[in-house]
Amino acid sequence: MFVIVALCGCGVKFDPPSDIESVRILAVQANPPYALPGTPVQLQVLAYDGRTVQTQPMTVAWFPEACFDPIADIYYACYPELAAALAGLGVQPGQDVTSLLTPGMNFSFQMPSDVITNHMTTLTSDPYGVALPFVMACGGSIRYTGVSTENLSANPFGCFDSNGNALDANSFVLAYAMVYAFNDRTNANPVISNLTANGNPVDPVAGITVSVCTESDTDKCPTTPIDTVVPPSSQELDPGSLDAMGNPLKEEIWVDYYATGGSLSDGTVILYDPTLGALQSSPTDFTAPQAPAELILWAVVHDNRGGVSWVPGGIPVHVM
Amino acid sequence: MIGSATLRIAVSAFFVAALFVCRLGFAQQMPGSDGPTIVPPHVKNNSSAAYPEQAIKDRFTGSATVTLVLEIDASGVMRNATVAEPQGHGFDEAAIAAAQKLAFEPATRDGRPMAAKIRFKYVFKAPAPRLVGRVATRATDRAISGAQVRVHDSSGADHTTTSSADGSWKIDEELPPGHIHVFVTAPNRLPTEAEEDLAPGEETTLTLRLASQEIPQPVDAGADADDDVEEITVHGQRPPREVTKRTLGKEEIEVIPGTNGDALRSLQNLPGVARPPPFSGALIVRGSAPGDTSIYIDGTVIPLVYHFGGLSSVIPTELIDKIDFYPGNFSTQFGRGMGGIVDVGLRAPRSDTVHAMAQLDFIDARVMAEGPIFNSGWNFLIAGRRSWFDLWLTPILTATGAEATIAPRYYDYQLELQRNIGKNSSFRFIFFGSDDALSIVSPTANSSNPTFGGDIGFHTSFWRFQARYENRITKNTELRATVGFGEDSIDGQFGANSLVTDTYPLSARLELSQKIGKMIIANVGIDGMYEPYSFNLQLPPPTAAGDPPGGPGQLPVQSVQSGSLFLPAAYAELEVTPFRNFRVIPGVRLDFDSATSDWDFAPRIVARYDLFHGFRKTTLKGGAGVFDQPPTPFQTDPKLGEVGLSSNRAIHYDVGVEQEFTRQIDMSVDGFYKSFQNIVEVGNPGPLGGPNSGSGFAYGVELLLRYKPDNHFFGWISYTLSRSERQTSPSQPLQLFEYDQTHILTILGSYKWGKGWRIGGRFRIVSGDLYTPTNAGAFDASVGEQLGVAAVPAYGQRLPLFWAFDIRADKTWTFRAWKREAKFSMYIDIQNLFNASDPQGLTYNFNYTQSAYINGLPILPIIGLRGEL
Repeated sequence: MFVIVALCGCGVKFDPPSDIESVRILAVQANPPYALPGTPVQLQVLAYDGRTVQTQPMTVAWFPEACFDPIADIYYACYPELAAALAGLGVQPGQDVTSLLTPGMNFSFQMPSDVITNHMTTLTSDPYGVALPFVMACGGSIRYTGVSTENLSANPFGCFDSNGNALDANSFVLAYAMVYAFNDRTNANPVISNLTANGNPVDPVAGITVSVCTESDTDKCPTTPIDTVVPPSSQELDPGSLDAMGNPLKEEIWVDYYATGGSLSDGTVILYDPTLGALQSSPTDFTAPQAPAELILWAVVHDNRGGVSWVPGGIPVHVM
Repeated sequence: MIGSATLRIAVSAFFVAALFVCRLGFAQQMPGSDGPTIVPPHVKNNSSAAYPEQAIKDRFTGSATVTLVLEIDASGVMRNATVAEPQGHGFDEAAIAAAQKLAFEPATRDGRPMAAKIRFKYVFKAPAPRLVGRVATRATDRAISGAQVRVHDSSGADHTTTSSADGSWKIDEELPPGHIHVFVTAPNRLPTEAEEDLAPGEETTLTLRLASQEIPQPVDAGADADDDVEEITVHGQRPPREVTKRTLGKEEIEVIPGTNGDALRSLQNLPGVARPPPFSGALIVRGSAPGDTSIYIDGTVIPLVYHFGGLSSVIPTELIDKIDFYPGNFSTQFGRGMGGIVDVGLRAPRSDTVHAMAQLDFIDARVMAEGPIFNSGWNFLIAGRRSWFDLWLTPILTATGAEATIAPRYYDYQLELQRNIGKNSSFRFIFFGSDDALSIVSPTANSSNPTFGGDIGFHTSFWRFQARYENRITKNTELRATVGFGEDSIDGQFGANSLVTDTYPLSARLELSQKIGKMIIANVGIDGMYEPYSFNLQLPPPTAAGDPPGGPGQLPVQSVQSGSLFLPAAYAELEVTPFRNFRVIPGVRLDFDSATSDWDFAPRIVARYDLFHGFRKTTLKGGAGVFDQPPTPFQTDPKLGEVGLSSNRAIHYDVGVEQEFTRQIDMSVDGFYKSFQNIVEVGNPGPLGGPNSGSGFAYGVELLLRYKPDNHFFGWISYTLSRSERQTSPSQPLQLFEYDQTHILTILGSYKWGKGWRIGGRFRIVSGDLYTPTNAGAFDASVGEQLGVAAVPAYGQRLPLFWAFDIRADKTWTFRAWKREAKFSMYIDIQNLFNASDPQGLTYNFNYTQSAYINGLPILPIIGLRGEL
C-alpha cells in the first residue's frame, strides 16, 4: 500500500531526472559494447554541468584501470579492487586523487584475454566476462573517501569544494558502465537516424526553434512533440533472452530525454519491444519555458545489452 | 408505543352540584309561591371522551378541564356544544366529540319538556405510562431471573418488582409520567441503574444488563461450574489460560472514536499493539512482525484481518460477540505463531424474532438480518457489506490530476446458522468471506524506472466454511469441536511482475476439558491443518548474461509451485489450583510441519495469584513459554527460498500485576521480554527465504488503566514503552527492528449524555516509525539509472512523532415501528480532527538530494446512518 501511495504521487512533486539542473553524467558509450577478449574498447562519456552557479568548473575523469569480473557482476564489488590499486599508490582515505585519474570525455582500455576464463562460471548462460570502467564528474576536486566495510555499496569517492567541504550529488556523479566479453556474441550500439519535432526531421546543428510560453499556467503552454527515429536494424537479436520456446528474443530499445530547460512530458519512451518489435510512435512533448533561452536537448538511446548512442553535442533548442 | 389509551373521565361535580342546587331550588317552592317548576336536563348515557393523541405527542402530563356550553332541545338532543374555556392540546376537540354522543332527558317546566342551555365540564387526566422491561447478563444477554427492580417515580414514590424466569418484569401500579430512576440488583451481579422519562399513555421498555460481580478469572476448582464467567461463550466454559487477556465488549467496540466502529481496529488502542504501517491493518504486537500474530474467527485462522487501507476489518462489528486479545504467553491451544493471538468470537443469532439492520457511511454500506427459522429451533444470521468509496474517490483523483487513479473496493459476507440442543450443547455453522480488489492505472511510465509504469492490480479473497459443536457433557466435562475449510487467493500484478497464489486450508480442532477432583482441570486437544497450495510468482529477473541489470523490459523470473502442507499438532494443559487464590497452568504443545519435516516441542507455564481476594483484588501473574512459527511455503521453495529450514522460535517471559481500585476502575501493569531465535532471514540465498540465522529480542512495559463500561462512561489510558532489536546473523550487530515503536500512548473515553446522545474522544501519541535513509550511489551509465545506497544501519532513522486527536458523536432515536422497538442512529467519526501531519515514510528525487515526507490520511470525517429493527 505504501508503494501505491508513493506511485500516486500524492502531494509530492520533484523535478524529473530529465531536467538538467546539476552536474550530470547521462551516458557512457562503449565501442564496441561487447568486446572480444584481448581487444581494445573505446569509451566516451556524455556529461554536462547544469548548475546555475558553478563555483568550480566540472571535472570529468576516469579511474585509470577498469575493473574486471567482480563477484556476481556487482559494481560495488569493484570497490575493494579500486581501494587496493590506490593503496598500492600510497593513497590514503581523504586524499585528493584528481591528478591520479585520467581526465577527459574519452577513455580506453584493453579487454584482458582471460576475462572470460576468470569469470565465475554460470550454469544458465554461455561463458562471458565483464569489465566495469568508472568515470566521475565533479564540480570540485575528487577525493578518495575509502571503502566502507559496513556499507559495501557506499561511494568510495567524493567531491569537495575548495574549502574541503563535501559536495552532494548535485555536484558529483560516480558512474560505471558494463562492457561484456563473449567468445561468440556481438553487439552494436543503436543508431539514431534523426530526431523529429512536430513530425519533421531535426537538423542537429540548426536545432529546434520554439516559442516562449506566455501562459501563466504552464499546463496551458503549447507543446512540441519530439520523437527519436531508430532504424529497425538497430534491434539485434539478444541471445541471452529466450522466449518460452527457447528462441532468442530481440533487444529492447528505449530513449531517455534530457533538457537544460523547459519540461518534457515523458523522460523515457520505449521504442522497440523484445517481442512486438517497433512500437507505435510515442513522442515526448516538450514545453518551452516562460522566458527566452538557449537550451540543449539530448536523446540518449539505450539497448538492453549496454549499447548506447546520442547525437553529439545534443540538439540546440532556441526559445524565442 | 401508545397502547389503548386510558380513558378517564370525571364528570364535574360542579355540574351535578349546580343542577342539584337548581333542582332543589326549583323543586322547592317558596312557601306560598305559585311559580313554575323547572327541572334541568340530565344525562341518560355515559359518553366517555378519549384522551387526545395530541396531548400525548405534546408530552402533556398534567390534568386538563374543558368547560362546554351545551344547548339541548326539548327532545333531549344536544344541538350545539361550544368551548367556554379552551385548553388546547386536542382536549377541546376531544371534549366536543364526546359531547356529541351525549343523550339527555330534556329539561321540563311544569312537567312540559323545554330547551335548555347548560355548562358541562370534562376533566382529562393523563393516562398512566406503562413500564416493562427485561434483565439479562451483560456479556451474553442471558436472562436473569429473580432480579430486584426498584423504580423511583417522579412523585418520589418507590415501586418494586422481581424479574421472572425469562428476565422480564413490569410495574403493575400506576406510575405518574415524568422522570424515573431504576435500580436493579441481582445475586453475584454488579448493581446497575438507569434513568428514563415516562410519557403519558406510552409503554416504555427498559432492558438492563448486569455485569458479573467478579472480574473474570479462571474457574475455581471448588466453584459452581454453572457460574457465568463474563468473557466466555454461552455454550460451555473456556477457562482463561494465559497471563494477560484483554477483552473488549461490543458496547465499547462500536463507539471508540477514530475507528469508525470497527471492532478489530479497536485493538490498536490496547497496550502492546503498535501503530500499523501506513494504509495497512497489520497487527504489530510486542515488537513482533505482523506475520507473527494470528487471527482466529471462532477458532479458525483467517489470512487477513483488514480490508485494503486498513480502514475496515473483514468481519463487521455487528457480528462480533467479543474479541479476546492475547499479546503473548498464550495457551497451548494456539500455536504456529511467535507474536500474539486475536480470538474473535461471533455472537449467536437472536432467537426472539426477526431483526434487521442497515448502515451507510462514506466508506461502505452494510445490511444484516437475523432471527429464528420458523419453529425449527434453528436461528440464522445473514449479513453483507460492500465498500463504495471507489465510486467517489476515483473521479476525485482524476479531477485533481493525480498521476494514478486508484479504484479500491471490498466486500465481505457472512451466514450463520445455530441451534441449541438442550441447555448444554449447540451446533453452529458459519460461512464467511472477504474480497478486496485494487487497481492503479498509471498513464505514464515512471521516468526513473519504466518498469514501474502501466497497470498495477491487486486482488485478495478468502472464504471459510466452519462447523462447530460444543457440549457440556457433564458438570465436569466439556467437548468442543471445530472443522473448517476454505480458500485463500492472492492475485497481484505489478507491471511485468505478478504473484498468484491459491491455498485451500482444511482445519480441525478438538478439545476436551475434564475437571479432575477439586483442584485440577485437564485440557487436551488436537489442532490440525492440511493446506494444498499453488503459486505462480514472477519477480524481476536476476542479471542475464550480457544484459546489464536494471532498465525496462527485463523478463521476470518465474516460479510455479504446488504442493501441500500438513501441520498437525497436539496439546495438553493442566489448570491447577493447589490452594485458594493460586492457579498455575503448565502445558505442552507438539507441532509438526511437513515442509520442514520438523517437530516443534513447546512447553509453557502460566501462574496467577490473588494477593488480595474479593473487592479491590490484587493479582500477581507471570508466565513463560516457547512459541514456534513454521516458515512459509515461499521461504521453503527451492527457487525462491531455501530448503532445509526449521521453525522460527520465540521464548516469552511475562510478569505483571492487576489491581482493582473500584468496581469500575482497574489497572494492569505488565513487563515482558521475548527472545527470538532461528529467524528465517530473507535475501540469502533466495529472495524470499534464507537460513535460520536471525535472532533478536523485544522487551517492554505495558500499562492499562481502565474505567469499565457503566451506564454513562467507559475509557482507558494505555501506554507501552518497548524496544525491539534484531540481527541477521551472529556476526552482524544488533539493530532496531523495523517495527520498533518506543512510546505508544492512547487516551480515550466515551460518555453517554442521555436522550440517545454519546460523545467520545481519543488522543494518541506514538513514536515515529523507523526508516532507512537512502543516499546517492553510483550511476549505471549502461541503462541510465541512478542507484541509491541504503544507509547503515538499516532502520537507523526515525520519522517525527505521530499524534492525532479523533472524536465521535452518536445520536440514537428509539421508537416503535410495527409494534416493535426500532432504532435509528446517526454518527460522525472524525479522525485526525486537527489535521496533524502524519509522516509515514520518505520519498526522494532521482538523485537522492531531496526528500519529502509521505503523509498519511489528513482529517477524515466519516458520517454514518444506521437503522435497526
